[in-house]
This record gives sequence, structure tokens and C-alpha cells, in this order.
Amino acid sequence: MLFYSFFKSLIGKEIVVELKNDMSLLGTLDSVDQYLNMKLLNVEVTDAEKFPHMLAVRNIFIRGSVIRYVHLPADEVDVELLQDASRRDAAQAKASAKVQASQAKSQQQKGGHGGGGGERAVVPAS
Amino acid sequence: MFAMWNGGQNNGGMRGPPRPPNVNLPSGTAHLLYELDKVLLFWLRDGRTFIGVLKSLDQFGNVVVSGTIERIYVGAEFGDIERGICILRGENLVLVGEWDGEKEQQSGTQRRDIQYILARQMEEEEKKAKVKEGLQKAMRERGLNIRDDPEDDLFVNGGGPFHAGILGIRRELWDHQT
Amino acid sequence: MAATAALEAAGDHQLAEITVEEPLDLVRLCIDEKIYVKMRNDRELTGVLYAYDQHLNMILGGVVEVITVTEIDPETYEEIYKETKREIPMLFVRGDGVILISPPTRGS
Repeated sequence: MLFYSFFKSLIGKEIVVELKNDMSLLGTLDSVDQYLNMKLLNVEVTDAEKFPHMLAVRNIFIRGSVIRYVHLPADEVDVELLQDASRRDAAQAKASAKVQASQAKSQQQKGGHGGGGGERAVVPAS
Repeated sequence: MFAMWNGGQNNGGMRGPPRPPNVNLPSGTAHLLYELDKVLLFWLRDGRTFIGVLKSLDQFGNVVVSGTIERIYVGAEFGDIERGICILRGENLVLVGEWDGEKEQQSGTQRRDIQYILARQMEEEEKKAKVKEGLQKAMRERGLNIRDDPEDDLFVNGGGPFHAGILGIRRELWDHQT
Repeated sequence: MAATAALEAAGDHQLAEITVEEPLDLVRLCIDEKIYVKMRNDRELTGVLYAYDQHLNMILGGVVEVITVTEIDPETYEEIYKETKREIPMLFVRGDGVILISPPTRGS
């Protein structure tokens, strides 16, 4: 969610989205979603001869999964904020992972106990 | 999010024109709901280009497109093949663009007869294949291995008459059907 | 470790307690440090890490990207290594293209 929020803060700014097939699109960020799908307005394609079909579109929707890089306007990025948010995010992710792990463990113990009982029943018989 | 088209609000499916969708997502959320009933360009992972009216979509980004044409570009020239109604699977879409006729007219691209375009496309594909083959052979002789597809594997080769790629459409099958 | 000390200096006690026990912890310690990233398609990046998430999406500053292409000359059949260098002041990198991240080397 960190980057989703980050890109939301860039709405209205000009960015360059570089796709995994080497196409670069310059445009104004209009919207973004949790998958980092993005909508860009007034798009210009660098290397337009290679992508003639892009000559007839102005506003586009890009699937997040095809993005390689996004070139950001450096003066619009608050790096201190980003660093803090990353640390906070990491700590949160870790805390929730621990909770999940302990829950899984307690469930396993219940399940494991039953299994152990079964084995014990076999041993005296043999 | 590829938010779901609110079927209940829009008398569902394809019967009758869809009403403007009831979008209750936070503003700044990327979706295609406002593009319903507009002419859009769909660019697929294998390089194919479809143009048509967006009729429906779901949370996976699958779309229904009507009055579809497949547009084949060779350089600045293009040709069209009618494809009727299509369902495009979301994961194969790279980019969806709002069709802008004005911009197209200014673009300097030129419509040609489809048979001519298909023949030109075939020539180009053969040329490319020959160069690639030579390079691959030379690399193999050196014990080097180049990937079959230097592009990212998210993008598959194809779109041509022979090299259908994994999204391959057997042109002869589809053409017979329409 | 220097990075941990920096965290403590910043007064962030909760975070400073966390040590390196899983791979992403090491990435966290690279924040505000110059890192090396190897990407798919023979791309390499160096830059200062400003942000990352669990997918290894990242924001890097002062990026230098080097793309190496191996080709064989179609006529002379000689190997050609082409390197293209780019500088990008601020870059978002999508995590699915990342192969390797390396922290700054000691002393640098």
C-alpha cells in the first residue's frame, strides 16, 4: 500500500512510465489503483515509429504488471517521508507476520497432538 | 482496481445500452468504468491491436468489446480485419487507450488494403526470422546461449501470420468463422 | 552496525530493536544507502534506496542504469558487447524485475 499511496500523491504530475517492452510513455498521472495500474492523460510516446498504434490515443490505462520503471519528478518526492514510511511498513508487515505465524503454530500443535496419539496407539500393538 | 461493472444498476449484460455506471470508488482510483461504450484501443501482450467499443468488464480486467477490428500496422501503414464481438482476457492486456480520431488523422499513418498489409507483414516477419536465425547460430557456435526471446517473457512474440506465439490466433480458423 | 546506530540516533526504538532475521530486514538496513540492483534483461542499477515494499518495488535516487547487450555481428561474426548508460534522478522500480539487491560494500 506504500507505493499506492505514494503514486496517489503524484496524481496530476507528469511522469514517464517505462514498460517491459521498452516503450516509454510520458503523460500526466490521472489515477492509480492497488495493483499500480495507472491512467495517464495526454500521452506522448518516445520512439513513436516503433509503436504506430500509439499515435491515435491520448488517454490510456496501463496494466501495472507490464511496468518496468516509472521516472519520477525528483523535486516532488519527499525522500524522508518515503524512508519513514518504508520502515513503518516493514515493522507492520513483520508484526502481522508474527501474529499469523503464532496462530499457525498453535493450530499445528492441536493438529500435531492428534497425530502423535495415533502413532502411540500403533507402537504398543507391534 | 478493475472495478466490477455494477450489473444491478446497469440492467446487466449486453441487453440495451448501459447506463452511466454507479462508481463509488475514491477519486483517483484507476478503472475503466468511465470508458464503457467508448471506442478504445486494446494492445495485447503479443503485440496485437484491437479497436472496438468497450461493453463490459470485470474485476480481473477481462473485457467484452463489440464491433471489434484487429488493426495490423507495418511501419506507418495499417490494415483492418473485422472481428465482431470479442472477450479479451485481462492478463493479456498491456494497455488500453481512448481512441482519438483527430490524433489519428494527424499521425500520418495510412490505411492500405488488408491483403497488401498481410503480405508486407509476412515479408517483415521472414526478414526478422532470418536475422534472428543467423545470430542464434553464431551464438551457439560460441557456446553462448541467447534467449529465444530477448524481450521480457511477459511479452510474447507473435502477431504475425506464422509466428502465432502463445496467444496465437490461427488466422485461417478465425477467418473461416467470420 | 552503523545502520542500526543511525536508527537509534533517530530515536526510533521500536524499529532499532529489529535485527536481521529475514531477507527483507537486510533491505531495510539499506534505506538511505547506495545499493546495487541486478534486474532482468541484463540491466543493472545503482542508486540510493528511499523506499521499498514486500514485493521489492523500490524508489531509488540518483540512479545509474547500465544495460549490457551481447550481439554477434552478422557479417564478421564477432561478439559485440554494447553498454548503454543512463542517469535517472528519481526512479520507481517494479519489484517483479528484480533479481538481486546488494548493500553498499564496506568502506564505500
